[in-house]
Parts: sequence; structure tokens; C-alpha cells
Amino acid sequence: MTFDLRRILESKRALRRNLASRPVAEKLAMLDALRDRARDPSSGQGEGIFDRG
Amino acid sequence: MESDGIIPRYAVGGAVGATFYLEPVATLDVDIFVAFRQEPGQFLISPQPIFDYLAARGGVREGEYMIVAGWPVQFLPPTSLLVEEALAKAVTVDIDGMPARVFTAEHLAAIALETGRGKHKARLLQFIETGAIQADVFQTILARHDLVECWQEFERTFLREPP
Repeated sequence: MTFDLRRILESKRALRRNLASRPVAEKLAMLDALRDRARDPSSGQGEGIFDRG
Repeated sequence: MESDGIIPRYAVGGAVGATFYLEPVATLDVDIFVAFRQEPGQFLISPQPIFDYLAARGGVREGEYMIVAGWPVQFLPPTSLLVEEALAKAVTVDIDGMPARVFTAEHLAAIALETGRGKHKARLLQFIETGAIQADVFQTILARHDLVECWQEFERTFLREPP
């Protein structure tokens, strides 16, 4: 099995661009979820926040 | 607070400010930059009027922070001429019908360069990679605040393709 690093990096950039282009209110809600998860990683809060759209 | 005369002007900066332009990145607090009003005869500026105002509306003080809607919020004075300019030129963004003032993307990127810690360098790279900043506006800010050499060093370190 081989990995195409160029494609992997490009897909990551595409994901980031997609997230950056979301409405501000949605991104701020993501911040809430990220902060909850950072404070308590075991809680599982914030799971699935990147699944929308 | 601004319309009630508690502070002359505010704007959101830091990681939360960057989220207005970039993908969200985990952060534990909110940085709000404030043009503090200096009281006559006082040499030190104080966030106390802000704390009093928010405490009367349910905010809870924890050290240098006010907890607002579950978020620790820190109110900061401009720490450099660049931040002063960022505060003066901040833009109003609509969040589901609620206006909020935030630093421009170019000022946030320049502040990240000026601050220069690891996470700020990463943030600056995000601004560049996502095309969130206008290069000519950014370059003008760098020139105005004596950051051109700093930018050239950043370019050499992070933006040159390896040989």
C-alpha cells in the first residue's frame, strides 16, 4: 500500500477551505464544541461537528 | 457596552477573531481588544467598569477573565500601534442578526506575525493558504509597522519550496 502525500495534503487543504467558508455562526458553534472537547476529551462532546454540509 | 458608553470601542481578536475568516481552531478563551477610557487623574487604565457592567448582567469574574455565556473573556488594551490600528479599522460582521466587530483578516495576520509565537505562525500560514488576506493590503500594513523584515524571514522559513 502506498500513500500519495500530495493528494492527502490537498484533501486536507480542501477540508480547511470548506470549513473556512461556512457561515460565521456555524463556525462559532464549532468553537463551542471544540472547546468542550478540549476541556474534557472523554466527554465525546463535539463529535461529528465536521460532518455537516 | 459600547452603546451604553462603558467602552469607546471594541473588537474581537485572537483565535476567535481568526475564526471569522478561517476554519475554527480550538481555543479556550476570547480576546476582546478595547480602547479603554482613561479617567481624569488616573495613569492606569482599569477594566473594572467592564467587569461591573457584565457582572450586573450575569457575568462572573474569574481572575482576569469574565465568564460570559460559558466563555472566559479577556478584555485587553491595544499592546502595540499595530493593534491600535486594528482596533480603529475593525469591521462589523453580522452573526445571525447580531452585529459584532472583528479585526480585519489582514490585521489579524499582521498581528500574528508581530506576536510570532508558534501558534501565531501557524495561524498566519492558515491565512495565506486559504487566501483569506489581500496581499497588497497586508503588505501595506507590514510596511507601516516596520514588519517587512520579519515577513521576509517568515517567507524564507515557511513559504519557500524545499530544493
